[in-house]
Amino acid sequence: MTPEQIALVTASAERVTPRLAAVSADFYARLFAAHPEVRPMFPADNSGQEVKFAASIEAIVAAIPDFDAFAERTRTLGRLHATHHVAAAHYDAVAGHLLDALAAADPGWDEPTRAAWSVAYDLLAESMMLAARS
Amino acid sequence: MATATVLEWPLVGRTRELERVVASLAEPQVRVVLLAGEPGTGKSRLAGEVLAAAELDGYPIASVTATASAATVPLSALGALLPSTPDDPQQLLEVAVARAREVGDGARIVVHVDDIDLLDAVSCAVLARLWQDDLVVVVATQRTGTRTPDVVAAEQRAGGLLRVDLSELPRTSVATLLHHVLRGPVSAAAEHALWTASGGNPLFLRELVTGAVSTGRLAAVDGVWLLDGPLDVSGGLAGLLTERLGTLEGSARDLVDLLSLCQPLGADELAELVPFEVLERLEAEGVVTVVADRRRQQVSLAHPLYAQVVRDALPRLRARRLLLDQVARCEERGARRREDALRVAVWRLDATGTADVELLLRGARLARAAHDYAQVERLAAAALMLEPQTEASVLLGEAVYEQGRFAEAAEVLATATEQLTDLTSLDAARLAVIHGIVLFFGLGQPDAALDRLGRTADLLDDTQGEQRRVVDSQRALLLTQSGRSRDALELLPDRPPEAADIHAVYDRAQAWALHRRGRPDEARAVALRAWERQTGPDAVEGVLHPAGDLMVAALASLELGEPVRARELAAQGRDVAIVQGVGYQAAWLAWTVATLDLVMGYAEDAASAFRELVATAGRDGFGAIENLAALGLVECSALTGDVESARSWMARAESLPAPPAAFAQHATMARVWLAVAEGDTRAAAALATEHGRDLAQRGEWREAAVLLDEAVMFSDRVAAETLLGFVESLTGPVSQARAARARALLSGSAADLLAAAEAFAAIDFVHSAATLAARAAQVLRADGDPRAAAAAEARARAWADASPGLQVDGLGSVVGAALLTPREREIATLAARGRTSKEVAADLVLSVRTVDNHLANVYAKLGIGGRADLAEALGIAEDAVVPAPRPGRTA
Repeated sequence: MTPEQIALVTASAERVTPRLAAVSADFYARLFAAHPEVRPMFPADNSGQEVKFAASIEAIVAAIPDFDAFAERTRTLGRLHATHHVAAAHYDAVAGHLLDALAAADPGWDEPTRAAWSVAYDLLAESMMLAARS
Repeated sequence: MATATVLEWPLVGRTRELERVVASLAEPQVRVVLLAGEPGTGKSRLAGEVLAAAELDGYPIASVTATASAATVPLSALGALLPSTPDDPQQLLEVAVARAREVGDGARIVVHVDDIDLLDAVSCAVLARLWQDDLVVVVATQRTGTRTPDVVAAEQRAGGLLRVDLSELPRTSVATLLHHVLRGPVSAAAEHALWTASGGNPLFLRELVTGAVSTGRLAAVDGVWLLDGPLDVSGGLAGLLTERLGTLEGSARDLVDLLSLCQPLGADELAELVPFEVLERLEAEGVVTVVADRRRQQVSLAHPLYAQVVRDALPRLRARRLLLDQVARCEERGARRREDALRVAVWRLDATGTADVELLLRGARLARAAHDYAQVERLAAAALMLEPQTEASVLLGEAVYEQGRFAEAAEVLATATEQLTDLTSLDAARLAVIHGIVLFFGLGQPDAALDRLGRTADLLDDTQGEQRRVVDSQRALLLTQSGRSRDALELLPDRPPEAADIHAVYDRAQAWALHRRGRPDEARAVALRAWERQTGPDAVEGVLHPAGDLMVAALASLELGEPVRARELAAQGRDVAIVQGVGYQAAWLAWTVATLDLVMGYAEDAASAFRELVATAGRDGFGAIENLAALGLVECSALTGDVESARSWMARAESLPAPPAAFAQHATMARVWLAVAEGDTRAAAALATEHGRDLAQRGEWREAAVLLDEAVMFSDRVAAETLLGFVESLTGPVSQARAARARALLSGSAADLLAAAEAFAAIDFVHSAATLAARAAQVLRADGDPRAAAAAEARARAWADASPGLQVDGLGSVVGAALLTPREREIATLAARGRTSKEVAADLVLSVRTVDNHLANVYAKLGIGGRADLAEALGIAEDAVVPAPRPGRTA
């Protein structure tokens, strides 16, 4: 990522932090609507997962500027996802819905912000997939 | 390289492909995974990750690296899979199968093959056998634009190939990769420059970053990677590599140069040459990789492109010295393993253009076993340059012939003949065999070929039984092809030669002779046994390609009333010959398939196959086959009533070299059908009868029967009498049906017609059956027995309806059409071609009312609604000059 992209993602994350719980719920709603087949991978009551998801986003975004911390966090997360048989196709499916949920919650959202999030998500997903294989 | 910068390059942006390929390892229908892409897109890397995942999942694994250099010597790349292989090509597959079974222990071994396009044909054949037996699944890489090996292409046709195309990485993946490798953010300018320069090619990106970091031009300032000035990529990836590897000095330089010529080399071998620290540093810098295989550590350059770039820049004399030094070191250590011996041969060949004669011959024999004739040619030619050697000449002559360069092959063999010291040796006999084949089939000089063999035979005395059996087997084969099968059977030795490969010639001669002498059952049994001997688990390689056995088996099957089986056999032979790149045999078998299609009534399929053959055989210089294909097109055109095309194909055929005399009946048959299309059935019958009688006199029973039966269909009584003179003594239901047809013609009785109809129906020649039954119905009606006539007609209709698969226009009307009176047929034909009733009336000097009455009768008999359906019902093209003849042929 470029420093500019990191700044855009960090600023956007700060704007949505107060609404992260809602972003998380919105994201899962979008994901399950588009991909009902992944619903069984989550608990019937998904509220706990929503809380964890919001916390993860916050922590990961905060770690981006420090690669070692970022790598450490994504490694744990990636291995955890691997135990749930999360495949590349799932990572692909998530991307658009996450960005849409963030866009809906971020009053300062624009094209450069979306592009920056997109790169950040790719970095995160690839890191997690690498960890899953190691 | 100023500093040793250790950067880790994770596999980014390829997880989807990786998951797909790993999943496919558990899919039994996937036998080969082909990772295709431009150099540097990460094919080998992906394959390596697949292998690592496979190993984790408990699969046995192995790696094979094909290189341009290893391709010179068959099997030298397969060391990982076949630590020891027999020199005897016949045992090769067995040993490979047994070994893979042992290593795999019930699981498929996952075999990584790098650059499969460079793998020699013998290795390809071994791998193909292993994957066909579900003993391995191959994960191969192939650079865009290189030739896909035939065995892989064949697997693709069979549905066992998973192809994964790797393209350049998208920009996001490049950004992610940079972030991972550099472990931090990269300035927008640097990222843009690296993305633009690399175009998303991971290897290019890697070279750019490695170079820029080692020179300090890409450096981290306050945690952000910045690029100092623009990147120079004017020389492209290759230029970049040359520049980077060009800075190596001393023993590192020697090592890289040597690897570019001889890789992979064992780490222990290299230890004598360079200090261990140098090897270690080169590995750390990503210049070389060290892979542990079962027995030792193998060192190669980190990317195939490195080897190419280094080799290209290497002065010729330096390359020669490095190779010869390597040969000396290897020989000093004793070159114990067979693999070593082969590698030494390759290096010597690369260095000096030559190698040990025995090694070269051994390689040539192996290559021949895999029908890799281009390779046989190289190795045998190299052996011949060292010393005149009959075996090498025979191999070379055969290889050049099999590649369709007939005159050149004849020259090689003529020279070898002059250089013979012992004219009665077994080698001399074998030379005569190949020489005979080349002269006869290649150059179309049957007399010269028989002379050549006869001269050798004349020199032999009674003590040289084996030599005689070898030579006479070949003479017998050529006699069958000259239309002298009686002489062939007489000359054929009492038992086959002991030389296993000439056994195939003996079998082929016997099969052809039996077929042509009207004994298809025995002919097919001999041919299929020969085929199995050459292709089964205990395969013995013949001097003839075994696909030719399937040609005889197919033609004999047709005589046995099994056209479907016949076509299957011919198609099988064709496909084998295509896969093995034996174009000449493939063309013969393709012709056989088309001919069978024509006989079975698939005129359109036959025509398109013949057209393709005319083009390809013409291109490849197989004039005789081009001729036969053109004759096939004469028949196809005649069948559809296209006289113009038929005539022009006939002119084309006449301008081409004649096929062997044994195929002369095809020219006559084409003339017969052209005459039919021109409306002159009398001339057609006369042509068929004349040639048929001539063939009968020479005892070529099968061909005689085909032509005479054709004439019988045109009601030629002389033909029927001649045919009955011999056909009943032949074997096979087709001959018996032909006899019945001839008897029916001579007696004209409804009972005989129905008997003949039944005989043809029994072998599914429903056209003939329906036509004969319809004629019986006519006779019965004329005899005043309408009830029996109706029954016969019902039978005829049932046979005609029983063949919905036949793609012949108007088939369903065979019965009705046979019931038309000559006048009705004449009027119907004119009407079908678009003439109005008034015009028809004028043409024939009849009243319009009479014409319309006749037409009404025709519609009723054909069971059609009116004029619009006439052409189709009669099976004629609207613009045809005469009614199309109906396929009623039995060959």
